[in-house]
Amino acid sequence: MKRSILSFVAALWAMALVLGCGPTTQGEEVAPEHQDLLLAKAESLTPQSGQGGSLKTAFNDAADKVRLMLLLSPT
Amino acid sequence: MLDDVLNQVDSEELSVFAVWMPCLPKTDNAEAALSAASLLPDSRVVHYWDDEKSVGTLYGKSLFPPPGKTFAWDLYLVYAPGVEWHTQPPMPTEWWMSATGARALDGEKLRESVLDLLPESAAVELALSD
Repeated sequence: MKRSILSFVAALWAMALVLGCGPTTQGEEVAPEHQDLLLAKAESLTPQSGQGGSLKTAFNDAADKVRLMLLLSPT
Repeated sequence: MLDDVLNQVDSEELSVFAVWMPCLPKTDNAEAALSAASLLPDSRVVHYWDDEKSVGTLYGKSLFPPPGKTFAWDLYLVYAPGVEWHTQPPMPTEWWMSATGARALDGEKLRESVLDLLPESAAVELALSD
């Protein structure tokens, strides 16, 4: 009985993910030393096209405009 | 939906940064991100592949402060002119996410939040062209 309930909940969870209504957050607390690495990585992301500056530079270069940043999963 | 929003906000006063991240480990990779990027052919969109989910982790921490909620995706962050990135990725002026709740993404809300921040002249031009 317990196993079938768990299976049902797991199926619902999988369905929610497929339908795009799953959680938008997950993970563990970020250690302070890892935080610096993440910041460096985020700042230095370069466009997939290979053209243009890093994410941080491009963001600040467009500071006179409205900007929309999308954080997306490709699938 | 996002494509519709971009089509409706036909202003060069808008820049878009699409950060693709591996949220689903088995299927998300740089190649899939390139393929997904083709679904947003708008010239104002610049695409990035964040293989370490750094941006999502940093925003997960700042937008969802309770411990354990440190990685975020399916986020739509809107920034007013003048907002700059200094040491940390800046907090958005407005934001939405693909989930249920008060900040559930709605194309109309996203479009309005962008239009509200555009310079008055650009917004008037868009209104006249409707």
